Amino acid sequence: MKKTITILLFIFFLFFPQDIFALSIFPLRQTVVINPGESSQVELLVKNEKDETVEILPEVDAFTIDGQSGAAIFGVDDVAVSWINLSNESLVLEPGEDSGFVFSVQVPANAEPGTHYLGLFAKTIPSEGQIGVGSRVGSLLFLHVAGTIKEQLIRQDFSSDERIYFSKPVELKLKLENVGTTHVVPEGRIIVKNLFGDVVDDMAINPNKRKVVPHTSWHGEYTIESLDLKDLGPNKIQLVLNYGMTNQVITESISFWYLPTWVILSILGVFLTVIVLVMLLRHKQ
Amino acid sequence: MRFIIIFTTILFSLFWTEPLYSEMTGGNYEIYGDVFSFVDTSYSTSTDYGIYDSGGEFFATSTSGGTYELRGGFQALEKGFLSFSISSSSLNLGTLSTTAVANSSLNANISTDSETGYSLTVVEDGNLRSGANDIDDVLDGTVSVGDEEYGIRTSGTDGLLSSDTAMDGTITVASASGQVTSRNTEVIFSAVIDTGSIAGSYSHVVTFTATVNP
Repeated sequence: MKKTITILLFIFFLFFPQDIFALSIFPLRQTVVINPGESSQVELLVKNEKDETVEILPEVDAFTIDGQSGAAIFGVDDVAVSWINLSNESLVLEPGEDSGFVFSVQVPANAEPGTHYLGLFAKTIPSEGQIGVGSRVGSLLFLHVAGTIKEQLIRQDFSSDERIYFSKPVELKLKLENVGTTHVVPEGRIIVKNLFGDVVDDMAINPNKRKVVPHTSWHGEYTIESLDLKDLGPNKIQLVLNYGMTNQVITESISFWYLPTWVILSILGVFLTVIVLVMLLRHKQ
Repeated sequence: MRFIIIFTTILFSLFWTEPLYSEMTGGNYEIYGDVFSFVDTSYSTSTDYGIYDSGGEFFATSTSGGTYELRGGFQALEKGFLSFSISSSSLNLGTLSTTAVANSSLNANISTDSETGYSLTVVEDGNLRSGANDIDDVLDGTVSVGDEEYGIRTSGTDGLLSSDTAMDGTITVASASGQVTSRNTEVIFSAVIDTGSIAGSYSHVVTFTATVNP
């Protein structure tokens, strides 16, 4: 009987591998504003969700935000990582136990005002093996150094692929660069109007409210499909976006011509038909 | 008398101001402070948010176009949870062969109530290597017999790598744009060698990182 149970347990764990690392963390994001020359503490609460004891280590890493996906990409250089001291080396958590890491932040007196983007992590050590697998889960820290903060986006690109379109769709690109000292969330609209002033399309900019951190670019791509006969000729595309606590505004207009091929051929066909008829009439006369 | 009453009323109305109630709410988030912290501060609450006042106050005013003054002392935590589990702390591809692709996989599982969702990334500490020799990264999307290649791919709802991908820099292997519960992603590591591959004991370390999206 004991042998049967052992075999069954072996089969169970073979086909249902148990997680070796299962942690929950809190908070998801945190913000702190610190004067130059002063310090503060931030914390990471960690809970062991597994039924085995786990040892975890604290870690700090800097991130930027991917301009297209909006994901946090760690491993970037940021001097603020060196401002953070860890109060304890490691934690051993029993099953179901929670505890916390304390991170002390000491901002140098000569630190420039602005925002730094850091991750506060609980991580595990990989085991020996052909592919050692380490893992870490963390909280995002938005560390603001107090002072005069500058919010500025530059419109690097707002354009369509072509000036004249013989068929749909019309593809638009928008690229913004953050040259300020803190992140902003650009929001706004792209409105397309035809020759008669009718709205052809109205698209939201950054509906997911992705942040743009300093020294990075934000990319958006838009497609105009809703063009028909009434939109023949020149169309105007107006960009209106705002961002930041200081409510900065960027506006710009570009235009394109919509001349579907079948319309051009139809006009040419009519034109040629008229010419032929006129020539025939003259010949008869 | 009537004139004095009217004059006083007008004067009072001009200089009376209603108290300014500041709210920190957003359409999709709540700023929240948790009692587990032993940071020695006072704790302010309202219907929608909790803020630690660390001896100062968060104050921003526009000084000129595009700039504002930020004062130290503000601290805030955002409510929510992120759970991350992984099924293996090491993988073994075995002895690599020129005639068959070796595979090994692990499962990453994530739950979060963050409305921005999450991202799971992986980075290697260097190529799969033995001293100065390494296994080439896959370039054509498929680790296949005939070439020395190494790469990873994913399966699962949130998996982003539908083809074999080189771990060149930080790679996002899975993500979601909203709340998820026990979302599993399998990460499959594949490698194959060719006749020119040099014998050795190849290894490296990969690190998976899970956070909510900013």
